Amino acid sequence: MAKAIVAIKPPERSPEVLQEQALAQVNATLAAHADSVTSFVELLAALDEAGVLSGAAAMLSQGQELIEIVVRQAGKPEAAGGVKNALKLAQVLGSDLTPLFRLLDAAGTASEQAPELTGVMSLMKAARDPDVMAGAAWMLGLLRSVGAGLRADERGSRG
Amino acid sequence: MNERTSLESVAAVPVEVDGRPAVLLEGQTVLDAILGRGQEFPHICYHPALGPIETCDTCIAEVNGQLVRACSTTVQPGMRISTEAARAGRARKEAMDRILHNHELYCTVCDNNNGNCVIHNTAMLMRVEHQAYPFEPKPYEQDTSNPFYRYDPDQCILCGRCVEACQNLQVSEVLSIDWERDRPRVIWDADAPIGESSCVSCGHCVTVCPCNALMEKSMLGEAGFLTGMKPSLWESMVTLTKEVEPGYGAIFTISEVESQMRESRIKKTKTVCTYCGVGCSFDIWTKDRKILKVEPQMEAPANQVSTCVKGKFGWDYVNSSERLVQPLIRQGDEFVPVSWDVALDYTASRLLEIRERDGADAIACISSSKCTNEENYLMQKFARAVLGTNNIDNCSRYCQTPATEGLRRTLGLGGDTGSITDLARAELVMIIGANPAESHPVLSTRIRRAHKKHGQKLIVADLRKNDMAKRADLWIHPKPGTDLIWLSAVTRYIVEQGWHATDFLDDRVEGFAEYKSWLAPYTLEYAEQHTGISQTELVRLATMIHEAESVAICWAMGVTQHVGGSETSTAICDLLLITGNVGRPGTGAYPLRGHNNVQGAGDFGCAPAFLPGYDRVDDEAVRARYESAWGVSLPLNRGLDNHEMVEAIHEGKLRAMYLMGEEMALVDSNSNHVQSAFEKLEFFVVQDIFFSKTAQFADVIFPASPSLEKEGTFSNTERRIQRLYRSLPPLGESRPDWEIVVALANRLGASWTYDHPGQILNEACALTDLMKGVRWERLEGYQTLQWPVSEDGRDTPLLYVDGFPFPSGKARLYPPTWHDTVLNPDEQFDLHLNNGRMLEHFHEGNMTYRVQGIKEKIPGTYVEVSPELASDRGISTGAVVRLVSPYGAVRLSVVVTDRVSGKELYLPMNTSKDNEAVNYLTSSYHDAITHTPAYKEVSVRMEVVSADGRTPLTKGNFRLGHPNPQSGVQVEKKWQRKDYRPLVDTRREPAQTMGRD
Repeated sequence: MAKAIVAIKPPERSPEVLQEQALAQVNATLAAHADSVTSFVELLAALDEAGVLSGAAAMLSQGQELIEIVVRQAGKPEAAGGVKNALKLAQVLGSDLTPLFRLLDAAGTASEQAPELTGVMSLMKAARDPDVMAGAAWMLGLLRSVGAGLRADERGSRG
Repeated sequence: MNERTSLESVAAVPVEVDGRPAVLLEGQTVLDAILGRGQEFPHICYHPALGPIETCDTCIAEVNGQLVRACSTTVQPGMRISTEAARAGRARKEAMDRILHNHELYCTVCDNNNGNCVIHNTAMLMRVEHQAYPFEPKPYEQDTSNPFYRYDPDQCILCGRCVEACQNLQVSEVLSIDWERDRPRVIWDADAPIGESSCVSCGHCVTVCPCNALMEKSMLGEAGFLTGMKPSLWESMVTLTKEVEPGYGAIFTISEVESQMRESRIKKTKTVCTYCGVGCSFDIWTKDRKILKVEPQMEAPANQVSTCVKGKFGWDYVNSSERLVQPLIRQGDEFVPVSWDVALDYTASRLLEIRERDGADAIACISSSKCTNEENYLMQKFARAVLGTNNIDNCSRYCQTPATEGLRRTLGLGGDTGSITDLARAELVMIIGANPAESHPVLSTRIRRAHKKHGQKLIVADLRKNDMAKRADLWIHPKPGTDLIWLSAVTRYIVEQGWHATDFLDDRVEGFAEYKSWLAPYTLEYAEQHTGISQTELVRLATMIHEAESVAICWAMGVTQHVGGSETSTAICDLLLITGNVGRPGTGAYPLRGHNNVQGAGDFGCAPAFLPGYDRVDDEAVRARYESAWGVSLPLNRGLDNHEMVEAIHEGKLRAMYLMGEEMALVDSNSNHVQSAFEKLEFFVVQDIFFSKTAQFADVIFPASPSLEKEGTFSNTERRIQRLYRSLPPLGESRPDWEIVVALANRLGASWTYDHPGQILNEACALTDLMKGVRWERLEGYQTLQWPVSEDGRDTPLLYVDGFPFPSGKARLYPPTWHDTVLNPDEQFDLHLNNGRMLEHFHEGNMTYRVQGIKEKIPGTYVEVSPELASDRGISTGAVVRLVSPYGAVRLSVVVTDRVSGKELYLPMNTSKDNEAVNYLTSSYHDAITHTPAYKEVSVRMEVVSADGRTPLTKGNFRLGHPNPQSGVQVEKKWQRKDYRPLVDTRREPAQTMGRD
């Protein structure tokens, strides 16, 4: 037989009991991973000796403020330019670098391949060499590409 | 979304995609052709649930040399489709550039970049490196006025998905895009703040938004590793991103990596909604115990991407600090927390003691329509196999048991005859005594959409001018409780005109002659006299039914919660049989089940006379089967239903009760009577997630876990069994209900060894005929089964295609019995009290009042009074009144509205406050057959406490807003803008106005 009641006794949760429970949980975790914990503490000790630990703690506690400073600095033209170039270089690394390698390889054997040049006549004779003609054509193509890019940029900057 | 009954009837269309042949179906689009080849192809505004919208222009392909939008171009035989044509590629790039002019790309620090952001993914797919038009902020502030979501105009690409969803899927018709402005934006109503508009917070717009313009507030600052930082830092990072971009490639890589990292701490779990009987399913995203959002999926069978305010935004109650997290035992004037062992041991010993002394039938069990099928099965097994009594029931008796009775008498099975898709395809839908726009929101959207876009006709019979009544082609307002009369008069008229389905009746139905003679007195004159509906309207009704190829009838508590509820339900089924509207797609009977698992509670035997699968307890063969399966002898005595249990307690025959997940003290009728019964119980165990009103009477309280914290299945109003998966661990010491029942059973001598709900479901279904093919393993992910399910796993979305489950194979026309209504208005109690639901809250609100946003919008309930009555009594909105019935009294605020008329009041049940709860006014009169309380048959008098006062409606109540119906996003207005240069080659009418889906 029971009338409606609304009172609920709050559970027995004195601060001491809660702390005991929390400590028991922590101890259990530590004991279960004793080796890792030991290594970790040794690492911390090493960092502390090197003076790194207090610096790191300070940085973490400053957290978002610090990041904000870094980000704002990075956004300034001098720094942004550097980041931009780094990203661009990274992109370039991902593209096809075969032509670049070809150039580098060729540069390696260039001295051996260099003909004896005494005057205009020997120059014109050397120019008739099929390899030289092929290389010259390629270099002209290179010039054309550079020039096209230059002229496109000019048009772009005119808006 | 064309429904096709057989693929053979659809023509094949051969086309060429990028030089390779492909075969499509008639009606499919160029986009289907491209995506069907397994290629990725950009498309932003198109959404499968909405159809083509044509605002983004990113899907442009070349077809037969012309540039067209792939999403809205239907395939024709011989089409040559090219995705690689340079012109098309340039057009798509231009389209994307225009989009990025409207949307700032900062994916790494964006809360929407979780792998499914359409803009991010499309920009990556198109390998966007630079944008031609720099982003320009819009001249509008963010709108954060709605408690659940916010709109950021700066990020909005004006794709119009949200508008299409609101106008044509949810059909609340709130959103539109104002294309006239210099910088267009999405507006709510006529440009009201979201929180002061007619927005019902259903969540459709947020779900379909392809970027972070519309975001759930619970996601902001939570989803990404870097998104929760303070604004000044965040802005600096966005600026940095823009300064250093040589191209987006690198930035996208970083954001992809970060998005992947999010996977590690955002858990995405499929669940089934815990609220109404529509049974929406969706993924829920959690991060530890935080609920980030509900993400609906197209593959969800009942709802696809649709939700309502409760399903999309109503989950915070799970983490409420008021959750019960420890077992409690009554000691003197307070409940004291104890361990599970103590609580279970004490309960077991008290139950055994009472059973020893007074017999098993002195104990009763109440199961829960909110708990899973597995939990319901165990509850009735506990009552029968462990306690030894048939005293088991659930709350379906408070609502749809009369409908089940009507269905069983006439058609044979106690479940809706079809699926929600049938309601969408019916030519005519009738809604009788139901308010699905507020009680079954997603289900009602399918009807609203069909009515708005596909020519479906709608008839509503209700006392109130509710949302569906306002849209209906015909709204009739009968005298309360007289539906059987007008329904029978309409049926009689149809037979008289020779409009009845003679072939169908001859082949498939019995009892025509007897039924026809029963119809004789129900003339149009008689009906007009007794129901107040004019003969003209009745004839019009009959004609509309006659002219429709397919008719589906939905009904709810307005029909069933009467002394004649079973009889009126029978009359509805008789009408459907007379007109041949059973057993075909788009037809049938749809009593709308109210709770997430009220169907399942009945299916799994939580009723005194039924075992799982609706086998009868008094059937010898059935009993033998269960006795052998369970290894016990089953009780022979007839069991008590919940109505009879209350009387038995008062008579001193019932001494103890074990109740799970039910607020019986407030949802049963005549609360004063029920509560005084609870006071007399010698031993009362209540199992719940919150300290409910019912729990206040308990001797022992078991803390249970809600749906997100357990595994199991629910069955919705389509007879569809769906699996829910656990996304959170049980809070504190609460436990899933099935675990508690097992523990208690074992302390009473059972030796149950269930360790997973799958075992329970498989055991239960194997014992039934109805669900013998249902297996836990067959319900993985979004797979579902609609019973009956045969052994090989084939289910039955549409019933009665091949016959009716009677010995003759035929349905039965069943002459109903008229019952006069009770407690009609008289001198002392002169006003009719109607009651029901509100959209925002669920039932008495134990869950929804603990969702901050919902509580803000609807802090409490109020009584609706018609303008005529208000003027007569000299009161206005905000007045405080006492409503008094022979059974009790309540006191609350008034809202004057034309939703109600004359001397009919309406009081929503959505409150647990003693001074406002409607059931303090209702009686114990009940349906003659099923004992369902006649909640709708009560009269009150109104005593004015103060004639005016502060309105109970908050600013955020959507009923104060003014919807803005449009045909859709009206993309042609965008095309007419001076600053729009077309990217396609031919100018046409937009796809949406051509009625294409």
